[in-house]
Amino acid sequence: MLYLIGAGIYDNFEMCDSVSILKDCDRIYIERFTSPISDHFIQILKSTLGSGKKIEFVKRWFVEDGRQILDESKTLNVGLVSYGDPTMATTFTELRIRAIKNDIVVKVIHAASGITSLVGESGLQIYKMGKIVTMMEERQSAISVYTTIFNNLNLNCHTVILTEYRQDENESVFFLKPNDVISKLLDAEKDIKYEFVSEDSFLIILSRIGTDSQRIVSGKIRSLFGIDYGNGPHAIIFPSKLHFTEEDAVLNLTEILDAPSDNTVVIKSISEHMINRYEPMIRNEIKQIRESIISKKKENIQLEMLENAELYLDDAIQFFRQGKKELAVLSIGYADGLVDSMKQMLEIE
Amino acid sequence: MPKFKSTQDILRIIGNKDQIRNFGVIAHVDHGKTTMSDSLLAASGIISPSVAGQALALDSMKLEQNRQMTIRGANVTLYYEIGGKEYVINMIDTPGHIDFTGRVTRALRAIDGVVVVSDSVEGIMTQTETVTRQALEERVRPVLYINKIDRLVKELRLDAPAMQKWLSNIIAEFNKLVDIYAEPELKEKWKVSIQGNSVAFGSAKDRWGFNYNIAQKNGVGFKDVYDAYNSDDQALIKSLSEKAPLHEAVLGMVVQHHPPPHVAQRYRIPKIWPGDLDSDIGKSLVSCDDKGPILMMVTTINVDPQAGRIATGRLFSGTIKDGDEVYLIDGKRMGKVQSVNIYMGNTREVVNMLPAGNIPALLGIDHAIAGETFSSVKNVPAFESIKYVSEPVVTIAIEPKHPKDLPKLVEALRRITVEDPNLIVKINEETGETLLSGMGVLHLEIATSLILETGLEITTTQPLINYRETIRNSAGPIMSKSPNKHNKIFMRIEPLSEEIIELIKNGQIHEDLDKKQMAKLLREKGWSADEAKSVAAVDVSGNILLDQTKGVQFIQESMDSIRSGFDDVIHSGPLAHETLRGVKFVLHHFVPHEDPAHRGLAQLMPATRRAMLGSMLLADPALLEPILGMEIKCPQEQIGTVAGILSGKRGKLLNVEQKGVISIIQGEVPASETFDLSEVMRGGTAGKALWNTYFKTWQVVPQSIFKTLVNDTRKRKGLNPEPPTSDEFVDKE
Repeated sequence: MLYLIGAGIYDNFEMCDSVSILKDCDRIYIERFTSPISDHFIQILKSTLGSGKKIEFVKRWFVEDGRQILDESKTLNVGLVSYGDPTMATTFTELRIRAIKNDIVVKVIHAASGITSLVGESGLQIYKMGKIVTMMEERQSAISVYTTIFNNLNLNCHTVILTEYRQDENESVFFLKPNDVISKLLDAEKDIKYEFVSEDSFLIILSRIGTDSQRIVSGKIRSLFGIDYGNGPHAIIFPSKLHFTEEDAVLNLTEILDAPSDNTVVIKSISEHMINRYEPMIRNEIKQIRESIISKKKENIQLEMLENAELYLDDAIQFFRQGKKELAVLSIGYADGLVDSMKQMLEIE
Repeated sequence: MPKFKSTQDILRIIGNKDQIRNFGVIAHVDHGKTTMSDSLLAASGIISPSVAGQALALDSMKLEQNRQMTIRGANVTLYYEIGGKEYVINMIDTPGHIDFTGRVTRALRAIDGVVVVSDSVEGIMTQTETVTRQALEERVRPVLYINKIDRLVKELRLDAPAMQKWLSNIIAEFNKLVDIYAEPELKEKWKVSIQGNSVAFGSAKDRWGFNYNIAQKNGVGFKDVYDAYNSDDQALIKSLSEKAPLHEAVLGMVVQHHPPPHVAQRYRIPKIWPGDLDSDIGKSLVSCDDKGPILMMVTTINVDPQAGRIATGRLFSGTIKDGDEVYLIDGKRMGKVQSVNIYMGNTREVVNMLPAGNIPALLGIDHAIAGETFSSVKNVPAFESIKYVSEPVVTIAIEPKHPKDLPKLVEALRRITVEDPNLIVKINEETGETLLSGMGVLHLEIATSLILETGLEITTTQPLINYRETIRNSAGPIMSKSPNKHNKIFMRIEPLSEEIIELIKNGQIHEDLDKKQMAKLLREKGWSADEAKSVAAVDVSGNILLDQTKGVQFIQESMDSIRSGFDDVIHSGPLAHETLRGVKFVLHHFVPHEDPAHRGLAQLMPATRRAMLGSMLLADPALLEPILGMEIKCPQEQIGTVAGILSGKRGKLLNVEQKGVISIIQGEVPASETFDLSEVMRGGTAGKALWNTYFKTWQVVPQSIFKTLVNDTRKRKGLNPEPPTSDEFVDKE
């Protein structure tokens, strides 16, 4: 029998069901790598279970490898305790599936999840959440976070950004700080240029949700950046357009540095970015080609081709205004192709 | 007594190319190269203005202290007057040992003549013969100096006529070399003779020497030599050095027989430069034209604590000035000359500019390495194309005797690896050992002796052979998961063709190459368009990683982590943790986790590693061992013995050729069998066989020793003697 037991998010959570189950367990493992379980919680658990029960702290590789846990679960009662709700960590689901494939009975004890709790505490609606994403310390993860927010905003969805948490070999704890997350987003903006992250972006920063020292601050990046948010865990929400009930909740549940604003105002879809970039470029090229045709006294057929390109370009703009973005991109692509081939024919650099 | 010349004087003299000579000295170890060079420097050296003051106080003790510099220095410039004419003579350091690294060839490119030094008793030795042969092949003209004549009297008890007879045998022996190795039209002209004044005799230790001209003019002869050493009268010996100073004998020959640069370049350029002689630069090279484009070959890199890297070499064409920008042809980059220097004696002086035919020492070109060609025009052929990293096949661990000397050892290693790019230093991260790899046992012996020369005490381990791991079949795609089982890497592999490995080895394909150009090269070798444009990583040991995934999300962000897995595996293959060679890894497909937290380096690197190791184990993996080529020279009756020795060492005799009285045997032998080769060969042939070795190829280790070799290598590295199976790395679904 394998029990996956959620410790919830409260330091002083009383594990009614869980405690009686753990008392029956032959092996008790606690992992603190997905998120930290406080020393206070451990003390309570130890004193509740009594000194006769041995509790083993296990590392990431031990759970990921999972072979010992599964082997023991075939004959013994094994309890694996983790932060929040165990089914929210993909690692445990993977372990659970392997256990089922090995004919091991698994029972999950659910508890409050960090993610649902922080969404609730922010005052935003769970219905409007988009993809969740983690910002890691390593450089390239910012690309994923940036594009996830962008895609969510295009669907008018909020984005929960979790932050990296690691326990190093010497047990020391690392949390990526909210200020680092903000810098990484601003850096990604400089690289990718979808033009939606700026000092005016409105964020909600949530620290230590569920603990006594919980703190939630909302405001624009210019006001939020530089504040010391203390110890982790931290999460950041990059909201989309707020529903009026959400706006009301944010005003009442968070420490407000700036009035809530709509992050989608500046959002341009990728097609819009393309149209804006290509239109002046192609117009300019058409002008050049026309001059070249006239100066070289080429035949009319080429002028006709050029006119065609111009018409496709005008169509593209027209389609875009009508909200037919796919047709707009298609037309502008065709115009660009015509212009390119004419440049080749006329040997223009 | 040293002569004092100002920088202006020197520049005035070298304005006339007839008054320049560039030469080197070839000698067997202990035949007196150092003593002779020192004697030349002490007696006829120009002392630079900056040290002229202190030079007055120079006594023999201090000269002795400076010795180290004269031997290891890139260049020593001498001044000599004869017949009322002034000469500036550059003496360039020519390594006397067998050529592993191109250093000898490189030095020979820069000089137009050599003085071959031979011990009067021992005669022409192997190493001397090898290097002389190379000199002749590079159209470098030799003269002969027979040293230690005193031994003939003191040890062999020869009188004057017997001495002359003995010496004419050595001359005949030397001329035999010229006969065998010089080109037909040069043979007769380049043979040395007493009457032709191209042979000198002397004792470098006692600083006397004479050639035919001096003997005639100053009235010295073998009778005087016999009398001096037979009586062992120091006054008589001293008077020999007064009547016939050594430097006059040697430099007299150099001036008379070695050509000045503009004469030499006329017939040497067609031999040593691979470009088009009718091009502008070709014409300028042949005529040693000061006004032509700059073309200079770097022979030596020295690292000066103050000035940084100093690139010394022969300027074949053009005039080089401070501030000039030059192309580093092999390095494919630009460099800026900060300061043009010249050697005066053995110190450097700033001259601001130098014309063709001279030996500039350039400061400021930080990326220069020995063998590089500098040019003022792009896209000209280099004098040699540098093979950056050859195959280091033998490794020793090296450590200082006293732990406090570690920084000095690191510094010494840095220097020798700058000067010789074929030596490779690595730190074993697990054991902390400093490992030095080279191209053969002898190559490493030379390297360690260079370190010992600096006065550092070191200990070294037994040489170990470096093997390579490869595959003989295709395999996959197979799949491996990351430790958290949230990411799947699909990998397939196939052997990389020898042709492609060659392109990587000679630097035509490398990672920074433009993608389009790379694709073009690979398509020419028969790759499909799809494969040719998907190269994601190129490893210099001859391995490639292709990214053939199609439209996979997050692949760009994940490539660094996947790449780390590749880098890890190519240095540590599945059989024996040896470097890979000739493996084409194809990343076939990639299924990542949605969130960056679950697909970082800690997940993707091990997943990639496992996929690569697993696929290799399914593709008929093999161990490759380095095979050394051998060229053995021996009398005909020894051919059978040599063949026997070779086959006893798993080697082969490939070809026998008769050249005069000598048989030249081409053979090959695995490097692992060569540790006691010298002893066995000497014992078997009574010392009559001479040979050299060079890295030839990698060959699959025969099945008969494969298993033992894998087990032993793994044990030595502290691994389970049994190699893993693919099941440990391949995941089912």
